[in-house]
Amino acid sequence: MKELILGIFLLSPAIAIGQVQTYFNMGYGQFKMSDMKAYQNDLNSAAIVPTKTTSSFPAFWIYDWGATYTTHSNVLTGLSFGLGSTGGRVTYSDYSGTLQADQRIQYLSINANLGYVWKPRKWIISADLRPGFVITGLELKTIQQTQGSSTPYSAMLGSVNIALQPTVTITKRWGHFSLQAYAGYNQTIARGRLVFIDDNKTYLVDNNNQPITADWSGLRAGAGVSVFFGKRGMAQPLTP
Amino acid sequence: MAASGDLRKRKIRLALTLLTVAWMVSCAYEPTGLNFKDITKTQPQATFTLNNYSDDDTIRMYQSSNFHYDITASNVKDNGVTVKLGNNLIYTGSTSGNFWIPTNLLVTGTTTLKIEFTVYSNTGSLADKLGEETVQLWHQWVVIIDVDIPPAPVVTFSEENGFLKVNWTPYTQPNFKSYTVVRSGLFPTSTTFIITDPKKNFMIDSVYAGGTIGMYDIHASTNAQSGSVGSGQYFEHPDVHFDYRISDTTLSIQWSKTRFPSARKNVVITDTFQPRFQIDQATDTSIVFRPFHAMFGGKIQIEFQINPKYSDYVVSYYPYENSNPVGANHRTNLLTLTYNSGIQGYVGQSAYNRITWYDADLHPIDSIDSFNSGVCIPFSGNSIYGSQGGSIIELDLTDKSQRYASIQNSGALPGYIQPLEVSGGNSIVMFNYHDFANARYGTNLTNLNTNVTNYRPESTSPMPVFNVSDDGRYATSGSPRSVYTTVGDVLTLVGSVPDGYFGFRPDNNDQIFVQSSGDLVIYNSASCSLFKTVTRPNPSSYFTNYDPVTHNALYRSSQSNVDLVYLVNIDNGQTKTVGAFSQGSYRLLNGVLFDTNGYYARILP
Repeated sequence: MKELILGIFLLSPAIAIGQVQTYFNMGYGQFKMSDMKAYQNDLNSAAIVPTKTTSSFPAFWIYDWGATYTTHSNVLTGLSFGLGSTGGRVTYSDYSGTLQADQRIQYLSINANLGYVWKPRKWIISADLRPGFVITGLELKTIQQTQGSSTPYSAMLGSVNIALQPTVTITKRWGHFSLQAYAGYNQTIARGRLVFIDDNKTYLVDNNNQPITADWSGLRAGAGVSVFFGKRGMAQPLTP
Repeated sequence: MAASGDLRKRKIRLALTLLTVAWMVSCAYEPTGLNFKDITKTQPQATFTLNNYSDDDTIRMYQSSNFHYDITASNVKDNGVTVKLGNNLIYTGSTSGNFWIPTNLLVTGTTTLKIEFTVYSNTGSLADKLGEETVQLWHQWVVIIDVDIPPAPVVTFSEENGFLKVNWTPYTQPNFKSYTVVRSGLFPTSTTFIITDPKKNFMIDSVYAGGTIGMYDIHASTNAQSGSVGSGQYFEHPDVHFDYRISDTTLSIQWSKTRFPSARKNVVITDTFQPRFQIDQATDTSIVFRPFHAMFGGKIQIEFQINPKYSDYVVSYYPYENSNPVGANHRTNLLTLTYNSGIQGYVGQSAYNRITWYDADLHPIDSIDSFNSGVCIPFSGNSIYGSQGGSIIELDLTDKSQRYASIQNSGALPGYIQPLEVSGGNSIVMFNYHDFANARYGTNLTNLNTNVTNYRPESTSPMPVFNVSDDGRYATSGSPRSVYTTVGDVLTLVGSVPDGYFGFRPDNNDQIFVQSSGDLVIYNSASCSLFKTVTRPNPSSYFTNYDPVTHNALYRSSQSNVDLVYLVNIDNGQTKTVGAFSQGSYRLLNGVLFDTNGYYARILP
C-alpha cells in the first residue's frame, strides 16, 4: 500500500495541469485512542507485576499529500492521503527480567477534499471537510524475558474507520510554488474492529469482552508546500 | 535553454519529494519508556529438624531406619523436598515427611544425607512471580554407616576365684545390643546366657567344675542382626591315673588338681556301681584301696565322678570298666601249658596236636604239628615225648631233633602205647602197651640214651599203670599208691602212700605229693614216710597245683563268684592270697598264675 501511495504521489506533479494544485504537508496530530488506552489499563491490571504505561498514544508527526482542483466558482474538490502513527507501551523490569507490551499503531487515510476557497489579496484561504476512510494497522508486540526464559509475542491487526476532518488552510503563493499551513479536527465517525490479520474472524476485545477500536480523533495541524499547475497570473482560484 | 531549465526543476522537485517521503516513512512512532523496579534480593531462611539421631551433624546407621523431618520455611515449592543419601534419591515430598533408608543402600562407610528443597524467592520480581526464581536450600548430615555384622569374638579362658572365666573380645560399636553365650558340650543341656552390658565381655561359669568339655559359642548382636559366632572349648582333663597292683590287688587312683575348686563339690569313686569314697577336699588328689573285684580274673568297674557344686550334672569316668581280668594278660590255646625248666619256658598243646613252646615271657619260640598222641612234658630236661604206633618219640625242643624207642615185647606185632610216663631228665620212658595180635599186655621201662629196655613184664591181663619220676629212680603204681625204686630192670617195692597221690615233687623226686582233705601232704619217696604237711590256708581251700620253680603250692577256695587263690611256699610256709574271679581252674607255673581261659599274670617274682 505504501508503495502505491508513494507512486501516486511521485507521479502527481507530472499530471498536474492548469487549476490543479498538489501539496505535501507535515504536521502534528493528537489521537484520542480511548479504547487503546483502556486496553493499556487492562494490561496493567492483568499483569503479575506492577507494570506502568510509559507511552500512551501521544501526539506525533502526521503527513498528508493531496491534489485539488478549484472551479471558477471557488469550489474546492480533490483527493488527499494522510499518514500518521502513534503508540503505547506498558512495561516493567527488574533485575530478574522484563515484561513489556508495545502497541505500534499507524493509519493511512484516503480523503475526499470538498470545500470553498477565498482569495483576499495574495493569501488564499480555504476550508474543506475531508471525509474519508482511515485504514489502521496495529502491531502488538509483547515480550516476557527472564534469565530462564524469553517469551515473545507479536500480532498484526487492522481496521477501517470512517472519519471527517474539517480543515482550514492558508496559502501564500509565489509563482507556481506556495507555502501553506492548516489546522483541523479529525473526528472518527465510525470505528471498525481491530481484526487479527492472520485470523480475520478474531478481533481484539477488552476485559468486558467489548471490541477495541482505534480512535484517531483529534486535532491536526501542519504546514507544507504546494505546486500550482497552469499559467501564472490567471485569475484562477487556488486551493491547497 | 528553457527545456533544460524545466528538466532541472523537475529533478529538483523529484529529489525533494523522495527525501520527504523517506523521512516521513522512517518517522513512525516508536513507544518508549522504562519502568525499572529496584528490588533487593534476600536469602530465604529455613530450619530443619530431623529425628532419630543423636549426634549433631553425624548420623550413625547400623541398619535400615525411618526418619522424620520437618522444615520450617515459607514459599516452599510443592513437592520440592528431596532427600538424598549420597547420590541416591530416596524421597520426594513436602515440608514434613517420613523417609526410609532401605538396607540395600546401606554400605559400610561414610556418606551424606542431604535434605534439599526449593523455595520461591518471594522477592516480588518478575521471575519470582513467574515461579522461575527459586532458591535451593539444603541441610546435610554426615552419615557413618556400619552394617557389617559383628565379628566373631575370640574366646579365651582363665581362672578367677576358683571358677572358670570365659573371656571374649568385646564388640565396641555403639549399636551393641547384647552378647549371647551358649554353653554346651558334655553338659546335660545347652544353656543360653544373654549379657546386655557391652563392657562385660566375660562370664564366670560357676557350673564348670572340670573333667568335661565346656563349649562356648558367643556372638554379639545388634538391633539389626546377629554377629558371627566365635567358639571356644575348654577341657580340664582330670588326668586320672589308675595303678593296679595285682600282687596285692590294690588300686591306686591319682588325679590332677583342679583349677576350679570353687565350682567343684566333690569327687566320688564308685566300685561296681556302689559309691565307696567321697573326696570333698579339692586338695586331695589320690586314693588307694582294694576294689571289690580287683583280683586275678576279676572284673573291676571303677567310676570317677566329679560333682559340681552349682549343678546337678555329674562327670563320670569308667577307666576300669573292663571285661578282662584285672592286670592279666591273655593268650589263647594255653590249655595244656606246662613249664619246662630245660628251656626255661612253657610248652603247650593246642588242638590238632599242635605243640608250641614259649619263652618265659610267653613269646612263641617254635612249634610242630601232628607230633603224636599222648604227649608227655616233663619238668626237667629239654625234651617232650609222645608215641606213634609202636614207637616212643623224644623231641628235643632246642633243635627239634627226634629219637625213637621201639616196644620191646615177645609178640610179632607191636601194640599201641598207653599210657606214657617219662623221666625226662634221664631220657627214661616207661609205658604200657597192648599187643592185640597176641592178646597180651606189657610194660616197658626204656632208657633212650642206650635204647635198652630193662623192664618189660608181660601179662594176659592189663598191666598196672606206672608213673616214673623224672630222674627215673622211682616209679609208682596202683591205689593206694605203691612206690618202687628202679634199678636196672628191677623194681623194688618201697611201700605205699595214702590215697590222693599227686605225683613226685618235680623239683625233688625224693618227695611224693599227696593231697589229703585239701592239704598237701609230702612223703619221702625212698621210705614212704611222711615228710611234712602243708596245711591248706583256708578250711574251704584245697591244694590243686605246685610250681617247682617258686616252690609254691596253689590252693583254691571257691566262693560265690569269687575265688581266692592261696600261694603257699612249701619250704617256708609264706602265703600270698590273690583274689580271683571264677574263671575255671588255676595253675601256677614259674610264678605266673594262669587260668583255663588263657589269662595269666605274674604273681610271684
